[in-house]
Amino acid sequence: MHCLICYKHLQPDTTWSTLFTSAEKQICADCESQFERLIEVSNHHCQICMRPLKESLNLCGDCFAWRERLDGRDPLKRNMSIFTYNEFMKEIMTLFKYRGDYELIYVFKEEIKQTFVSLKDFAIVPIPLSEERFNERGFNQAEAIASLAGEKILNLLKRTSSEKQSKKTKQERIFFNKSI
Amino acid sequence: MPRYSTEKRLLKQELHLDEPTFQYLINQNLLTEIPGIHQHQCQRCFNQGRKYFGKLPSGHIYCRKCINMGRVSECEPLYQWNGPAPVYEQVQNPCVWGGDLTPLQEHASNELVNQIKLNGSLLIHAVCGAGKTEMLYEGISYAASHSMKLCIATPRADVVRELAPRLRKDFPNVKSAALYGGSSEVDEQAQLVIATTHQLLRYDCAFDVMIVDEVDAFPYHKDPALPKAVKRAVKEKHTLIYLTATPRTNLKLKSKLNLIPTVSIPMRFHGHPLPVPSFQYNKKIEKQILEGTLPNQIEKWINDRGNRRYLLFTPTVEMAKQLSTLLNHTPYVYAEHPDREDLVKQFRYNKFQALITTTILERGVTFPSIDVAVIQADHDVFDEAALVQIAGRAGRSANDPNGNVTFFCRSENKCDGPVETLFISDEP
Ligand SMILES: [Zn+2]
Ligand SMILES: [Zn+2]
Ligand SMILES: [Zn+2]
Ligand SMILES: [Zn+2]
Repeated sequence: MHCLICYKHLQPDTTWSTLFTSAEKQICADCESQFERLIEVSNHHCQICMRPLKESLNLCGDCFAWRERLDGRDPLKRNMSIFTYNEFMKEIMTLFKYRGDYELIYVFKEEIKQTFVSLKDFAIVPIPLSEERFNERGFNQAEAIASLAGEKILNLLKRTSSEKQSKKTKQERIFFNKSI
Repeated sequence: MPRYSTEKRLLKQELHLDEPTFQYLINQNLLTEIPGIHQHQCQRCFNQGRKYFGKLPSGHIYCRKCINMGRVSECEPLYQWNGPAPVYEQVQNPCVWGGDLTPLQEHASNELVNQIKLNGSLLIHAVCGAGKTEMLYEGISYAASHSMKLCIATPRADVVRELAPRLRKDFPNVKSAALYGGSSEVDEQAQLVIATTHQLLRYDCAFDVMIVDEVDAFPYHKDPALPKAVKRAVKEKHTLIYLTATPRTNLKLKSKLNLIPTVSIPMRFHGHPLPVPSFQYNKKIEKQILEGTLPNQIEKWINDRGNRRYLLFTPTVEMAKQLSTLLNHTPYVYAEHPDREDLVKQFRYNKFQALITTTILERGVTFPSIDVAVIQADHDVFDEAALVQIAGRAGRSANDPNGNVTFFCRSENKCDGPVETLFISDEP
C-alpha cells in the first residue's frame, strides 16, 4: 500500500488502535495531519451552516440574515462539513476537481461513511455537472463523493446553465443562482 | 496548421483547435493519435510504477504522476503533428552582446561550436560564477544562424525566469519561449526554448541542440524519466551538451573514459576562485532554533554583516519559518510559497537586507554582493553539489569577489571530510 497523496510506502502497523478500527489506511500520517477537522477547530458551530461561532450565539450572521429574509422558509435545513478548506485541502481539491485525479476520492472514504452512519431518513441527491464538464473530467465530483456513503443515490436534479459556480462571487451566487 | 503541436505530444485541449479543424486534421492524417497509456506505461512521462496509476469510474486507467500537465489516460490520448516539419529561420548575427570572454571561456565556447557542427556531445564542467551563460552565446548564435532549434533545460523554474530575459536581451531577433509549470508562454515554433527539465516531457524529436544545465541537480539525476525525456526531445541527429559544477560519478567516469569530450573551467569569470567557506559547529543548532532560541553564533554572524545583504539557507521549511520569527520576520521562501517569485524579486531589487530560503535558491539565481550562511550544512538535503552551488551565491560580481560563506554544522566529523575537500578538488 502507498499513500494516496504522497505515494509514500505505508507500513501496515498493528498497534492496538488499528486492531479495533477495521478501516484500511489510505494515506500516511504526515498527510493525515495536514487535514483539519471542523470539530477540532472549535467546539461551537452555527446550527445551520457549521461555521465556528462564539459560545453565546446559535446562528452566524449569514444564516440569521437568510432566516429574516425568507421568513423562516429557508430550504437549507443544515449543512454538515467535515474538514476546513485549508491550504492542503485546497491543493487536494484542485487535483481532484480540476486535474481530474479521481483516486483522491478514497482519501475521504471513511470519513464520509462515518458521517452518514449517524443520519436517518434521508435521500442522497448529487448536484449534477454540465455535460461539457462531465466529458472533460470523466466524473461528477459530487456523485463521486456521494457514492462513498454506500447508500442509494437519486439523480433528481438537472442543470439548466453550465456556468461554473466557483467563478462567481459570493454575491452573484446568492442573488442570481435560482436553479438550485 | 496547428502551430502548437509540431514536434510535441499534446493532449487534445493543449492543441487549442476547434472541433471541425481537429477532425479535419485527423482525417487528413496530419495529426497522429498516440495512446495515452501503452503497455502499462504512460506515453508522456514514462511512468510504469503501479502506484502512480489510477482508475476512472469508466474503468479507464490514467497516469497520476504527470497529472499536473493535464490528464493522460486510456481514453485521453496524445496527439502529434504529422505534417511537414517546421522550417526555422536563419537569423544573421543573432547576438548583440558586446562583452568579452576570458581565454578559458573562449576555449569552452569554441569546443561547444565544434560539437554542434559535429552533432556530438560535450560536458562543460564549470564552477559557479564561471560565466556559464556567456560561454553558450557562440553556440546559440551558430544554431540560430543555421535554422536549428536549441533548448536550454534546467531543473528549476527560478533559473528559467532569470535566464530568459537575459537571453532575449542578447538575442533580440531569435524567437524564444520560456517554459515552466505555471508559465503562460507556449512554444509557437520558437527557435530558442528555455525550459524546466519537466517541460521536455511534452516534446518529441524537436531539438537540434540540447543543453542540459546542472545535470547533477535534483531532480534530473534522481528521476530516470528526465534523461529519457531529453532523449525523446532531441532529433535523431543532435548535439547534447551537459553543464555542471560538480559532475556526479557516472558523468565523471564517462568523461574519464573519453566517452564525452570534457572542458573544465575552474575559475570564476572575474578570475577569483570560489570562496572557501568557514565552518562553525554547534551540536544543538537545530534544537535551539526549533525551540525558539536564536543560536549565539548565528546572531553574531548576522551582526557581523553590518549593511551587507545575506541569504540564510535552512534544511526545512519548518526551520525557515522559525528562523523568520526569531529574526523579526525576515522574509522566507520555499518551493510552494505562494509569493515566492515576488519575494525573490523584491530581494533582488534591494527591498530587504536578508532572505531566508530552503534549497530552492541554491542554483542559478544570482544576486550581486551577498553573503551566505547555511544552517545545519551537514543535513542530508545539502549534498555535495548543493553546497558548492550555495557557496557560489556569494561574491557573484566582479566588484565584490570576497563574499562570506559560513556553514553551520552540528558535528565536526561530518562536515570536515567531503565538504571541505570539495572546494579544493575543484581547483585545477
Ligand atoms: Zn502521504
Ligand atoms: Zn512500496
Ligand atoms: Zn451559519
Ligand atoms: Zn504520465
